[in-house]
Amino acid sequence: MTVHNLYLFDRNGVCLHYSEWHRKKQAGIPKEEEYKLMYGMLFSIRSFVSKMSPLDMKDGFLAFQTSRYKLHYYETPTGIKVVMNTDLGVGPIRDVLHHIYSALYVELVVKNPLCPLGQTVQSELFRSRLDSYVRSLPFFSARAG
Amino acid sequence: MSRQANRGTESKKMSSELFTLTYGALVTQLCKDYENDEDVNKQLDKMGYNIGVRLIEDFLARSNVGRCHDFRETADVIAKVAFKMYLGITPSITNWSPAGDEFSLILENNPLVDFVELPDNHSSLIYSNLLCGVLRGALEMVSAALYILGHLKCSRGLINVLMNKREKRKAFRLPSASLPKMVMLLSIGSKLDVSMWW
Repeated sequence: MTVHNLYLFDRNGVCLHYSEWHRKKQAGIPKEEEYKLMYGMLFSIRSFVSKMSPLDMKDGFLAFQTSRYKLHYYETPTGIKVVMNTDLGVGPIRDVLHHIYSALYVELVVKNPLCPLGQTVQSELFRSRLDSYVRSLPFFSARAG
Repeated sequence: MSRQANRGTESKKMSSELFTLTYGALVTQLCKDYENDEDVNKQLDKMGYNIGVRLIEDFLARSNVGRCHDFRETADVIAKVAFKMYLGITPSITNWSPAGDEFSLILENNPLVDFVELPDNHSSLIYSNLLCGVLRGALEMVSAALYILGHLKCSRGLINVLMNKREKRKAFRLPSASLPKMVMLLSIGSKLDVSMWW
């Protein structure tokens, strides 16, 4: 089991943060394009999922998986989106994504008056804490690919 | 790093008098810095707004409240969860409009005004306008309120804060953001003067 990469978007689609761990193959497009593509896909899949839902939606879109990876999605009412790609062995990780939002993003970025909102996060503390948190996750393993 | 480490998620106790007096000092300084009350009100609203857009993230992280489904739920969450969490009070919700798109919050014991008696030459000062700004900023981030504007009448310790709609915001980015306009009334004191609505 492993973690491939993580995106953090704000409500306007700005990529606030991106980091990757075991990503062997790149998309082959500039990073900015990749963020836009990712956000656009999430935006569409979100509205598609809620339109297709036979019952009232509760949490909405949570995750999807392909033959090679699984994408986990967490969104707050303020439109902050946390997206984590892992391999297929990882179960539901909603609490992990919530922790990244509440204990890392809110504590280290939102409550830091010197971090402007709506822009790429420059905080080194946030980066290093996020990195060490993800590395400490039980399903993070350096061996797997 | 050590500063971050000792900041736990549990809220620390703080003297409410210190808080009240700090806010009072802030308003006093603003009154010195600006010529007229209108500018002070504007400044308080702006400061509150900037607090609100960040505070909402803290609120969501701590309370685990999801998206509200209707405006009544929004009102309940504001009064019973948010005010309780940050000010330790629960304002009552009244004055629902027939369409259900306006309501008033009445703060029976607003901690901000514990020691406050506004002098006569500041009759148009909206003392607690910061709260209006906080609500405006916070609700804008979850796309609930279109516009909140605060007004306060003050005479000898009796403070009524009247918020009124001014204009609808032009456009929404989020498709789910269709909650209607919101008018709020914050009041300290016993009686609401309905004639103050306009």
